[in-house]
Amino acid sequence: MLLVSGELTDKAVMVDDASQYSGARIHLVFENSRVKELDPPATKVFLGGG
Amino acid sequence: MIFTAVLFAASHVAAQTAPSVTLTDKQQKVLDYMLTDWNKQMRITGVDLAMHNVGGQYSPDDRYAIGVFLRSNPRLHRTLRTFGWETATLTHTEKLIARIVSRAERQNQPPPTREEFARILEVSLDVVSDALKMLERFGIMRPDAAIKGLSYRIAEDRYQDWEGAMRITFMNHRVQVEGEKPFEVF
Repeated sequence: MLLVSGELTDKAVMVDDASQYSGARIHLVFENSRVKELDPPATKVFLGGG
Repeated sequence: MIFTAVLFAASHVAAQTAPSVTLTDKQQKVLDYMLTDWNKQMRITGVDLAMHNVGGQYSPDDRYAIGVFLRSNPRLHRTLRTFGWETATLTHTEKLIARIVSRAERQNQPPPTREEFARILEVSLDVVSDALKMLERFGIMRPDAAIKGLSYRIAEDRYQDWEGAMRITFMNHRVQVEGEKPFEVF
């Protein structure tokens, strides 16, 4: 998220990751620091804050 | 007397020196790519992706050789000392298998079978078996016929209890910016 909201803020960015618990694959696409695609759709993205 | 002294000196040097590991030119090219990548913000692109980005023909043996080299040379880069050679060496699939098996063992639960891993990770059974073999080769998992459906367990306590501050041993985050080569971050 630091990269997407900073250095890469104006770019289309794809992130491939996996669920912390099940290991199921997660695919996200960001554009202009916002989530554009989310697979699976039920994925919860923590955008920072405190 | 002199001969004994020379023998002693030689054995003393041998005890202090780790077994030398050398890389071929094409393996060195991958290592150079990784070291350059790690100088960028938050980067920890691993061997598998580096081999892909460099291009050309690379085998699991090439990845094994580079992994052993990283394990033997922690002074190469701060990223390596911070996160460990395993983070930079294992593939996404290997990390997920090790992560899930280590958690199951910590919780005294049976790990998924090979078939279940293939389904969860959306890979073939061969990919699961190859990942287990490579984890064994690196000393992270070991065969154990008592583990039904998997026949492997975590080899050492430190790999069972790998999670914690700054410990991302079995984590993998791959990023691709449009029009650029993919990379991995911590």
